[in-house]
Amino acid sequence: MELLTKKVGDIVVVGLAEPGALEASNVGAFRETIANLVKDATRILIDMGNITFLDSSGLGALVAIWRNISSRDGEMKLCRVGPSVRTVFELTRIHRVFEVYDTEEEALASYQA
Amino acid sequence: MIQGTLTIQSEAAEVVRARDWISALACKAGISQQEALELQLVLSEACTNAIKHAYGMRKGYPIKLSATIGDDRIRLVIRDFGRKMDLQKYQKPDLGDPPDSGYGIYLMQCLMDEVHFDVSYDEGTELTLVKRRHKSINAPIHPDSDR
Repeated sequence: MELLTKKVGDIVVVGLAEPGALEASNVGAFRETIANLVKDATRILIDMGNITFLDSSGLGALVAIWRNISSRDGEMKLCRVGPSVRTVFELTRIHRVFEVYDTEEEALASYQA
Repeated sequence: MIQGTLTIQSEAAEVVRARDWISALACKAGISQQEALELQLVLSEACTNAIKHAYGMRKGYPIKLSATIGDDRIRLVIRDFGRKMDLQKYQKPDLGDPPDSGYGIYLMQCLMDEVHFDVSYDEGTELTLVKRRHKSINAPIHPDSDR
């Protein structure tokens, strides 16, 4: 799994480089990579646009990252959540916990608000 | 009616093969994209559960899958030959204080009408998942309802 990352001010923006699943088979690598990226950062935006399938392991990884960031008074936000991922979010009500934006621009602007 | 069987090995990469298999069957049966996605999700969760809990992440053990997609219902059967499922240990995730694991069975229960674990075999567990199709499969999800 290859991740694309960039920094916009003090915000780390990260997403999958290519369309694919975030699931049990690759979630360990995803979690580890993001943990390293946010070691010294407290603001992260996860671009979900290339995540075509999310299982409970992928959801668990997102919750773990959110907990990590929140425990350091940071903020994790998500953008470009597709319909299949949204189904999982709605069933687990996690869309009430995560801040989700339609576009990267909207999400980035929300940090500055 | 569309039917199929597949045996996968107990490793995470094989779950992708299971998902591709059910997706192909769903396509053959002509069911909706949303229905197909839900089948992929519940099958993924069932296979991952078997790998984690029945086989303790040990690779190379069989998980037998069968699927029947009919006009009135969809039936998936997932059979492992490892440690039996212990339902006493299952706890519904606290959605108000979300944990970072434990959503698999919950998702199956949300998406299917029947989730039955049969542990009466000498070894392993047979999980049967049934979705009745007389009600609208594309009905909106009601996350606020208690299940």
